[in-house]
Amino acid sequence: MAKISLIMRFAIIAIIYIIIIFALKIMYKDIKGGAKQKPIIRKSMGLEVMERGENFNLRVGAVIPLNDELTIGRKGDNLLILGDKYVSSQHAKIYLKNTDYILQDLRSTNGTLKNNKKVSDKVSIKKGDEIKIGTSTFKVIG
Amino acid sequence: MENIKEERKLLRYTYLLCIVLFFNMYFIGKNSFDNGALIMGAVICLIFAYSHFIIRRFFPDGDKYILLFSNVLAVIGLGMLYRLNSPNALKQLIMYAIGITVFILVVVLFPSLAKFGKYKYFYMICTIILMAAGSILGKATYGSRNWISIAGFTFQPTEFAKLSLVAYLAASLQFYGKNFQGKSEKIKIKALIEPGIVVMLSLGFMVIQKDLGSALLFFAISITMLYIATSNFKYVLVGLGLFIIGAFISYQLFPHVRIRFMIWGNPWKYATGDGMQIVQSLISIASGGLFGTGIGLGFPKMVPVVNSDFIFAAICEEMGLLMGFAMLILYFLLFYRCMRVPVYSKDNFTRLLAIGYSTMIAAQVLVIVGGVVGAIPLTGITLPLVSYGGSSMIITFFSLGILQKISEDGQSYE
Repeated sequence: MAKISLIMRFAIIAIIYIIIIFALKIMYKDIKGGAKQKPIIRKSMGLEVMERGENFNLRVGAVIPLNDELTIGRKGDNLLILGDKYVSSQHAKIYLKNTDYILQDLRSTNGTLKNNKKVSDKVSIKKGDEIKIGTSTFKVIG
Repeated sequence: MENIKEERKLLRYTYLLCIVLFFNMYFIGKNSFDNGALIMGAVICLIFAYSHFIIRRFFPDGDKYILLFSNVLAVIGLGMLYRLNSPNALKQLIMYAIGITVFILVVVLFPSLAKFGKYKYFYMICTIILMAAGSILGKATYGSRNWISIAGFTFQPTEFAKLSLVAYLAASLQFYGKNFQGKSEKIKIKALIEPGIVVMLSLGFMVIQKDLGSALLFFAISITMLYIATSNFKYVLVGLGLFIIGAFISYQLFPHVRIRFMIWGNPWKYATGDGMQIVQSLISIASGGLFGTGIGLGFPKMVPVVNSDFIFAAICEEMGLLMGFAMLILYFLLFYRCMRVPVYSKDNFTRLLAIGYSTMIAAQVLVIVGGVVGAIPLTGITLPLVSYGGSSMIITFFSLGILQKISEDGQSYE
C-alpha cells in the first residue's frame, strides 16, 4: 500500500501546476479587463426626492439610482447638481464600500443631515434614512 | 460574473490538492490506514473554505488572491509536516487556525490604516522593547539566543519586532517625498538619521542574539523601504557598503559567522561535522529527482531541523523538484499580488507599510531557500506559512491581513 505514493506524486504535482496556471490566467484576464471590476453582491439602492426645496431641477418622487459613486453639489461636474444657495460646490458623496453605502460630507458650509442629525464625516446609510442637503430632502430606498 | 466562477474553480482545485495529499497519507499510515490523516484533511478544508467565504462575502473589495495563495502554501506545509511528525502537525494546525483568525480579525476590526501613521514613537518604543526582550530574557536554542518561553509556548520576540519596525519606518519616511522636494542634501540626510539609528540598534541587538538571518532580513527591508521612499539610488549603494563593512566586522568578531562561511564555501569537506546540515539537505533534494520519491518513501528525517528550517528540502525530496519550483512560483505570485496593493494605495504611509510587509515575506523566502540549497550561507529563519513555527505563521498572517486591508482601502472610492 505504501507504493501508492509512487502514483499519487504525479497527481499532486499536476494539481499544483493546474492551480498556478489557472491563477495566472485569471490574473491576466483581470489586467486586460481593467483595474476596477466591482463585485456582484450589490444591493440596488436609490435616493427618492421627498422635498425639492429651492432646487428646481428636481421633481418630487423622482428616483436617483445609486451606483458606485454619487457626487452631490452645486458645481457642474457633480452627478447630482443642486442649484440652491445653501449647497456648496462639492457638498457630499455617496459611495459603495464593500457591501454598504457610505455618505460622506465633503466639508460643506451648511452641512448634511441624516435623519436630522448632522453628518460629521462619513456615515453608513440604509433603506429608510432621510438625507437633507440644502433645502432638499431625499429618502434612501432599496 | 465569470470571475466568481473561475475563482470557485481555483478554490476547488485547492480542495482537491488537500484531499489528494491527505488521502495519500491515509494509505501509507504506519500499521494500516491512518484515519487521522483524513480528519486533518477535512479540518483544513473546512478552515480555508470558511475563511474564503467570509472574505468574499463581507469584504469583496480587497484582493482575492492573497488568501488563496497563502492557503495553498499552508496546505502543502501542513501535509508535509503531518508526514514528518504528526503531533507537531496538530500543533501547526492550531496555529494555522489562529493565523486565519488573526487575518480575518485584522480585516474586520482595523479601521482605515491611514490613521495609524501618526504613532511613530509608539512603534519605535515597541521595536526597541521587543528587541531588547530577547537579549534580556532569552534562552539559547539552536545556537541563537532569542527565544522566550511563556506558559509553555516558545516564541521569538524579534519576529514581532519586525512588524513594528516596518510600521516605524513607514511612519517616519512617509513625508519624505513631499516635504523635501527642493531642500538641500544636508536636510534630507538629517531626516534619515533618526530611522537610521533605530535600524542600527535593532541590527545590533539581533547580531548579539546571534540571529543573523533576521538581521539580514531587517536590513533588506530597511534598504528597500528607504529606496522606495527617497527614490535615491545612492542611498542603496551606501547601504550595501555599510552591509559589507558590517559583515566583514562580524566575520572577524564572531566565531559562528566564520563557521557559517566556512561550511558555505565547501560543505563536502565538513560533511561529518559542522556542514552536516547542508550536506544532508543537498543529498536529500537531489535524491528526490524531478517528481520526488513519493510521500513516505523518502528519508527526510535524516536532515536535521527538518520541521522548520529545512522543510523545503523535505518537500523537494518527497514531492519532487517540480514541487519546489511550484512553491517558489507561488511565493512569487503572492509577492506580486502583495506589491500590487501599494500601487493603488492613496496614502504614503499605507504604501510604505505594504511594501515593507511584502518585502518581509519575499526576502524571508529567498534567504531560507537560498540557505537550504547552499546558494548563500545558512541562516536560521523559517519559511513563511510552511515551516513549523507558531510565531512565524501568526506574523505572516498578520502582515497578509494588513495587506488585504490596505488593498481594500485602495479599491474604494473614498
